[in-house]
Amino acid sequence: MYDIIVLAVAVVSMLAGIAFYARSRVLMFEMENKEKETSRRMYELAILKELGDRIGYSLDIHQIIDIITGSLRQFIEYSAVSYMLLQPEKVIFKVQLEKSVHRKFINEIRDRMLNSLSALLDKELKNSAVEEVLSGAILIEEVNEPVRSFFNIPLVIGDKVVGVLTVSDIKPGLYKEEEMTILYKITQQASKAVSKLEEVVKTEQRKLNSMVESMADGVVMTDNDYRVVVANPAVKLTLGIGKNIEPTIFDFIDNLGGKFDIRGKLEESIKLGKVLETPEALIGERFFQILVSPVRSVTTMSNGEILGGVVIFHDITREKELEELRKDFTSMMVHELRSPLDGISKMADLIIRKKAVIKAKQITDEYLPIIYKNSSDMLRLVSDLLDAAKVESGKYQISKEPAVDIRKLVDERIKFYEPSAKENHIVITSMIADDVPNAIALDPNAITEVFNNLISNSLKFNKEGGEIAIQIFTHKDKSDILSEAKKAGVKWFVKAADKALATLSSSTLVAITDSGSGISQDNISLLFNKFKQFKTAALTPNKKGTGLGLVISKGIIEAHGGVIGAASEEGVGSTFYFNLPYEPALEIKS
Amino acid sequence: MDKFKKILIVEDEVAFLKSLAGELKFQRVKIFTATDGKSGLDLALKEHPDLIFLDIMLPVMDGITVLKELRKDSWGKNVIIILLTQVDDMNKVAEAMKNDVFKYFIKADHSIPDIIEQTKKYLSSLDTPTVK
Repeated sequence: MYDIIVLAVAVVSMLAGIAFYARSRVLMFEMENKEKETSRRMYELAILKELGDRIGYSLDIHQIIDIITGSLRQFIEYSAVSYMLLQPEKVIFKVQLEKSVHRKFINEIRDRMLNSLSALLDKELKNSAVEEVLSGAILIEEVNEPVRSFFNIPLVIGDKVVGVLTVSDIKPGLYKEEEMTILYKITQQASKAVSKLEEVVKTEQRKLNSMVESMADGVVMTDNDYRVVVANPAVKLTLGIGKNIEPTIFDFIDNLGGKFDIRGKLEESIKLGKVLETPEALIGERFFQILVSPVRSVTTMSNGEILGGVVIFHDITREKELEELRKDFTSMMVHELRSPLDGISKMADLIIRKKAVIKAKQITDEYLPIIYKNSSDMLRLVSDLLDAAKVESGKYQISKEPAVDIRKLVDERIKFYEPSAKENHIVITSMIADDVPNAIALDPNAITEVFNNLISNSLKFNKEGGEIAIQIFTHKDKSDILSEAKKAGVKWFVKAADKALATLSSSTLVAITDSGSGISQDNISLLFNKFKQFKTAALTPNKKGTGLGLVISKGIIEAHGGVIGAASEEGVGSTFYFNLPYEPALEIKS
Repeated sequence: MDKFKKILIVEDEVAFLKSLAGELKFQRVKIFTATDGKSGLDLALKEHPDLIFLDIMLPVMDGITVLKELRKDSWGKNVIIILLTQVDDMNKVAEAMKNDVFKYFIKADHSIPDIIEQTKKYLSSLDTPTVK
């Protein structure tokens, strides 16, 4: 009985032991699995991080796959890991051997991989195009074992197959879904990263290309053998190379006509690795600043390597012109200010020294009027210069009155100028459309000055027996100004192409048209330029005024929120126009 | 009166012109004046002055053109010409020197008495027959 009990206990405990053993086996298995899973995850993360760290922003697929294959053995068992990459003119076949194999083994995976790649690309790939690189363990004749385990993973960048990655072993049945999945995942992740990077690079490249294309500066880039890689439209235009021509360095040499040694400068720049600047070169009729710079590679593989040179033609003609005008301006200042001041000084000196012998009458009748005239001329010039400077710095102040009668203002101006107009047999007429408001918000003194400037110019440049028409009409927002002007009966030389008028808001428009000699198109753009005007005025015989009137008028009109402009027909006459935009409050009233 | 030297001043800055003329009145000279290049040239060819003060920057006809025109004339090619300039006219002065200019003055750098003092030797040289 006791025995039975003992036996029973033993059986029970054995059973319990078995059960416990069984349970712990299950637990252990689960734990092992979990551990495996975790380590695989870790591996995945590690390899992706490594890829990230080591590749940086490289787009070098070789490098990326080398990193993958280099760290794969931590996870998968294999005799060889290999990849085939499609290149423009060849197929790269790289094998990393973990264990020694027979040459036949290599040939077998090579054939299999080439077949897979051909199938993936749907394109016959020749064995002769394959460039083989072996590394790792050595080939041994004795190990005559065939490929028993093998799997391929396609390498895809963007949507394009670029190669295959293969793991192979002499042992059979080695690779199950798990291994394939993990490698597939990794390559996919890497491919995704590269695809994304490539997309970014392509976008940047497109941006860069369109930037270079649309650059105002001429840009030409060559490689180290002076083959033209890029020549933007601006450089072709500058050098008179046809738009659709793919120019060579010789086109550039020919068209530069010895004005700039492009090849020599490129050679020097590439050799020295230095940016060379030519501050000024006259090409055709324009001045250029020319920069020649080496172009360096910035990829991780070949950092700093010189890939070629770039030449940038920056047109400085306009700057040169402005510089000239500025110089002229300074010399005119000398003439217009220093000269009369010197005159006053010398005259006063004469009076002081000869006071005993000069008659008082001569001083009062001859000398003092000259001193007075010189000093008033200078005073006016200095005031105009100050006004022009205020206009230029945007500090021209106006003080608007809410309701100025522009009809009255124009009448006063006509009365003021009529005597001098009559002297030259010039008729001043006015036409003010009925819908022009009686009360306009403006600075009466400033607008009077604008009228003075425009009317006196029209008088100065008119012909004998000519006409000056002061015309005012209303422009409604979005309506066609030309038809509005036509309806109001305005005589002017403004054409539809005049861009300044296209965007005017509702406003009162003033146009002063004369029958003078007109202004050439080139000169119209310079009319409101301080330097240009001053020079012209200073060189005009019997000049009146400083020539800065238009510059100041522009400032006054712009301070009113309007625009000022001119249009002309040479030999027939000119029109100067400006607008005074409606004040919001007034617009509601009207 | 004819033994008085004749001096022509061509200058558009009236204050300077009058100051120079006013000072010269105290010398034994006869003065002619013009305020633009063209009338200056006409007056020179008509009056044949012994000495001409000529401004460079002049309305109607600039001083350099007046100078060249004078040098083409059989009388004018030998007349004493003294240029009056602004500082910025140096290029024009250099050009003028080719046309046998006797002296130039940068106006603002000299007083009128100084200019007259330095000019006197040219006038007195006319008195000695050995010098042409």
